[in-house]
Amino acid sequence: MMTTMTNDGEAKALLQLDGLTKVFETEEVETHALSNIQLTVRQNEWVAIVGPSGSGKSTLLAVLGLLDTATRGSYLLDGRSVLDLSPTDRAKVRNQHIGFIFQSFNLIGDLTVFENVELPLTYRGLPAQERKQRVERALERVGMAHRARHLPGQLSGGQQQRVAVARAVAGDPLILLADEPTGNLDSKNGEAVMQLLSDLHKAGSTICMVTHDPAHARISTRTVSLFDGRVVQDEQLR
Amino acid sequence: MEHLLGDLRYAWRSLRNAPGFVAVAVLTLALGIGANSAVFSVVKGVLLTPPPFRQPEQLVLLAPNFEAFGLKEVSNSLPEYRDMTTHTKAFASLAAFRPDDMTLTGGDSPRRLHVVVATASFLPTLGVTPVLGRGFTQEEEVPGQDKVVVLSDSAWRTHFAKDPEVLGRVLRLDGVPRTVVGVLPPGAVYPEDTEGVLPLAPTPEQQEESRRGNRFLSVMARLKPGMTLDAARTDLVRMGNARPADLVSRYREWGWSMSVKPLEDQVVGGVRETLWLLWGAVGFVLLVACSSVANLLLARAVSRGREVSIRAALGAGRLRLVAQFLTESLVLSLVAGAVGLLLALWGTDALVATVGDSLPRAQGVKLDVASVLFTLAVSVLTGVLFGLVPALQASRVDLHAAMREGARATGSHRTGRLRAALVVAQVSLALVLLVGAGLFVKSFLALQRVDAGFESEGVLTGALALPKVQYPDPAKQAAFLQALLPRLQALPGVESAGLTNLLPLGGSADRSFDIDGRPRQPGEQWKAVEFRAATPGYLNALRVHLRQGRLLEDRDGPDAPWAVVINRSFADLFWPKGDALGQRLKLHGQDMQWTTVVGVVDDLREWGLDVPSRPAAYYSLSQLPDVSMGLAVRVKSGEPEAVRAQVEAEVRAVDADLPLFDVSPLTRRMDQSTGPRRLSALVMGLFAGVALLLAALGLSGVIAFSVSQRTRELGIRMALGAARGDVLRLVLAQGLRLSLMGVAVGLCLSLALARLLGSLLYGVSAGDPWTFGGVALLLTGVALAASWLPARRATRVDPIIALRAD
Repeated sequence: MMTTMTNDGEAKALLQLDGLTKVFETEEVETHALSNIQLTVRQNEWVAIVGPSGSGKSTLLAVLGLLDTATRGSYLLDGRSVLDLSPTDRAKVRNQHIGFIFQSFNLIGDLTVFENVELPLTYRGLPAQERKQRVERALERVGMAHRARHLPGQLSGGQQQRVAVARAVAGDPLILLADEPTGNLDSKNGEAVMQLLSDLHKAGSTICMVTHDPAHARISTRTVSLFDGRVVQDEQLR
Repeated sequence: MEHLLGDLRYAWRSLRNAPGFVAVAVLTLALGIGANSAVFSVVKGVLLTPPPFRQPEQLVLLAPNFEAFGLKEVSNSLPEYRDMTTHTKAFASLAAFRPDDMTLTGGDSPRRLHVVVATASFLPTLGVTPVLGRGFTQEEEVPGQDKVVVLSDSAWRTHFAKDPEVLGRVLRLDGVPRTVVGVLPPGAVYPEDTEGVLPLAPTPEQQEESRRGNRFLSVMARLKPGMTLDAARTDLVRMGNARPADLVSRYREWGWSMSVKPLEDQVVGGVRETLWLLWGAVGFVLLVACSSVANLLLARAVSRGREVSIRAALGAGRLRLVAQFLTESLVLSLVAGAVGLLLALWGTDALVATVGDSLPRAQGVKLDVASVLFTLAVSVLTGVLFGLVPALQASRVDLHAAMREGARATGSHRTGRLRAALVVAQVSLALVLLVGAGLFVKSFLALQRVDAGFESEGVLTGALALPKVQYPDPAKQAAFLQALLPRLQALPGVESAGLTNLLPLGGSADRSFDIDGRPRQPGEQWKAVEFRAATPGYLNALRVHLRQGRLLEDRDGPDAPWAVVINRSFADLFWPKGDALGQRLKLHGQDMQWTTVVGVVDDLREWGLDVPSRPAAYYSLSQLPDVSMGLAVRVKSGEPEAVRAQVEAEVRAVDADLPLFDVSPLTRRMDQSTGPRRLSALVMGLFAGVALLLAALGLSGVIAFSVSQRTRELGIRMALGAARGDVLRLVLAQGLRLSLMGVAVGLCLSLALARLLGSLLYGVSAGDPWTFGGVALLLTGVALAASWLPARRATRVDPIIALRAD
């Protein structure tokens, strides 16, 4: 994947958050899950979002993935404001520009590996032949082509997560959002998945990854630390 | 026992904690059980309870057929009855009888009594012994000695308040004093509306061989033990061949044969098919209810997975778990049975009130001990039926998985498939009922569109029976007409009034006849003609449609040449070129004259809207008077009942001892002819509606349950970019798939079962594609609507759920 450079020599900004705030309100309590987040993620960055439990990591990822809305602030995805989109348009943006990798894989048990990877492409309305090519390519990339006809229940956890990665990349999204991608895996399978993400990054993918594992965070190119919903540290690693 | 009590205690507690579930399940089952109990009460009262006659299966009715005249199962003459009593061997006893109406006078006002005039052998043949007094003897079969009457239980209760001193009382029936000599047990008489039995005392003249053609008697016989119907028919053929040679030859020429029909067929044959059908229909409703509740139980079992796992972990075997779940089902079904019994109590009364008129033995229809036992049995069976599968399902525990997954269900795929299968069954059963209801409704509507050939709106009808003592000859009978009709015609509000020997739906009077100048060829078969005698005002009151010539007029009096108006069927049969007017015909029988055809009218559907019209001839009642008559009065406007009191007063003014009875608007009489079809359409429609509702609720429940089970999956799909429309389509497609499977199975079932309805339908075929197609579309539409709500709920799933770990 080619990295697009701006006039000042920097890679193009894919995600731009400005003053992003997320407040959960109940009758008596107002909880600031995210407070005034300023964050820019550029093309081909691999950003690890770290922080203790309750620091707002998953909420930030949900807002980035348009699974949740912000209370205030702005969010530009590839230069386009996406905070005020209708549910239908948000679904379209998720489908076309964002690839998700979940902690619990979230494969659909009744669908085969092939069908699981094909699912987002189906929602995009791609023709069958193109879907087939993309799915096969994605499965090849993660080394799961030989298991295309299997059901998720017939795979190990590591294999399921590789299929989930294939599903995330099959649509050539602008950015991959990974939520604790190794959280449900043993160390060996965890390392394998991290290697897969590293390969994807080397091939040009932009990745935002929530993790609580410092070792995995160190593999990324940049770490953003959250505490109480605020960015307390933003460190460029390489 | 200890286990059972424990299970019962637990079941009660568990159900008490789920009032919503219990209410829905009990109501659903109560509908199914109640409908079954109500229809069982009717079926038991009408079909399954033997009449209070000794060995009723041995009782048969014997009636001659005359193929050459198209006459079937007509009456017998006294000489023919004598042939049977003297020359047959198949019967232990025979009796001749004739139903009649007589006027009971001497009280506050005259009353009509339905009586049977019968030979002394009538009660012994029926196998009935009076509870008070005696029957009558052969000595009382002689004119002058016949002044006795045996009362039925209903007459004893209705007219004599069960007076134990009724024996010896003298009643004036048609002006003749008769002594009460006996009272019959409840229901122990035939026909069932009979209120008194009188001796048949024919004069020597009536018994002469020359009166062989004077057929006015029904004949009942009791088969000898072991004797079959076929053997009895053979015996009657042998009897026919043993007649004198000239008679044998004549009977052969007339195409004579004898019909031997079980008495039970005569009484309940007309409704047997309909009642079995209704029972089948309520059986289907119960199955739908069972599927519905089984589905609820399966859903409940899923939510109780953790409880079952704990019980199993603590050592409960599968049988114990099944027993516990079944106990809960049985408690549910027994409570539903109790509620169903209350519904049945109301339903049975409603059924009898709605269709009692066209239901034989309706007075025997009641919710009794047998009905309660039936309800109990159905409740237990129902409890097992809807409880067993969920119980077996719930008791399959993968302990390791269950404890690891906490409260989440195990085997949910299997449960899902079961629930889906139950919904498919519900939809298919509902479709069968809907097709049945659709066919019956279409049939009923087709009947409503039938042109009866006359206008029944605005006509009041009633019946009169002139006592022969006061009106012994045609002259006196004609004088009564002359006295009454002008008075009725002069009533304000009356447009026209007339009398006839038989009102529409009043019965049949087949007569053979000759046509002047057209001798019957050897072997030629002529249909019998329906004989009617009417005054001119009668045809006017019915507004029959005149096609040729004229209607009967006042000039067609006793002294004028005889005139007859025939219907189109008659005219088309014998004078298809339209030259019926002026032709002459003569009915067979004594004192008949050649009669000139003066008019042709449209066919009148007088035997029921669903019965094709037959050739009919309308004679002048003045020329052929009768003692038994129907009255028709057309009002100028408004409800015909409005003139009832005035009409009754005019009848009393002419003869104070003559009651006008069976008074009702003609529309009500006509409604009675469509009664069984209306009942079928109404009840089947009701049952189908209930089944449709249950199927829709079942489908909606399954889809809602499936959505709740798939919340996470739906969230993942939405996270991956599925729009709300995609999710909506996904869920609707699931409902549509299930309903289409149900529709396919239901259509196959319906095609197989609809053939059974063939004989009960009118104007629509049992495989009517419009009904089948319409019902399939309706069910699919309802299924989509039922899936819509859970589908809408599915679109509100928050995709953020995908981020949450297990």
